[in-house]
Amino acid sequence: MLNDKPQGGTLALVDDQPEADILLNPKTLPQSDGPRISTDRQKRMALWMVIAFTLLASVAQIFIKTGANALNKVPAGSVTALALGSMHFQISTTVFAAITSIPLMGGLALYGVGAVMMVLALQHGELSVLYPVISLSYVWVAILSVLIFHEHMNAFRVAGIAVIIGGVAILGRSGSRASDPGK
Amino acid sequence: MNTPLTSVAWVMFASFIGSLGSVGLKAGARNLKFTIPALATNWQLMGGIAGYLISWVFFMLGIKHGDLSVLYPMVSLGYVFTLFWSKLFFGEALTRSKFVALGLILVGVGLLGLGTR
Repeated sequence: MLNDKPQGGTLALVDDQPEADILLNPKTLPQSDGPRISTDRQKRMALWMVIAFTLLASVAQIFIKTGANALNKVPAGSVTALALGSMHFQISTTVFAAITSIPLMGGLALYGVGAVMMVLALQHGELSVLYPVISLSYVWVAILSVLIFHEHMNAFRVAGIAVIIGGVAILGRSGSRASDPGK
Repeated sequence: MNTPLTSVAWVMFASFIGSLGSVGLKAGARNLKFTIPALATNWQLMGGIAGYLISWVFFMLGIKHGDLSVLYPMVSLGYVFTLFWSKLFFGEALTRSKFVALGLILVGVGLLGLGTR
């Protein structure tokens, strides 16, 4: 992660802020908080965390879908969200229903937890390995749609699930191999 | 169901912005420190999160009309963009196995789209 080359465009994001670079580069600090060069174990952990993130995100998506469907049944209009003396702040019933919808807000909260896991995972391992692993969320959604919404499993879905898992497995191999230089 | 080109354009744009968001998250994750001031001033991380939120807005605009089984798989185009960003910004190696894996993933996502029709 730290063997950044000083030349070239690879560090463009950090070069724009030289003072931040000095502050944040552990090499210039007397003590860094923890090892910054990722071990194979950390890279494997990162992969599993992204996989867990995809499951969380898919469950979140189903919550959001359920919540959004319920929103369509809310009659149009407005409600008073806040009354201060004679002042009444009106918001639309749809917005009010969205804010108070447990599936919708629960889904967003799950997404938030997932996002934290994703950032933790990105500390170790390559972006080009970890990011496409998110495609597993398509697999989870397909499986959950069949289990929860009783959609039909068909040949296309089975093939799609198998092919995606194959692709992610190849990424997983290249992501945790010791010969791959850690970035 | 017919999918309007504008919907396709919004979703593609959303996946492009999302891939830039992933660059921000990765850059921010490299400088991660778990104190509130450090997190709040981690502009790369904040930029990445903003990128995701913006991408989500465009995705929502895109899926208002059109066939979800076409539009939803298009989000996976973001993985292609990200592959090139990780080379450009982080100097990650573009190995053959990564391209093969990405190809399989895109095919798989397309198959799932066909299966959802």
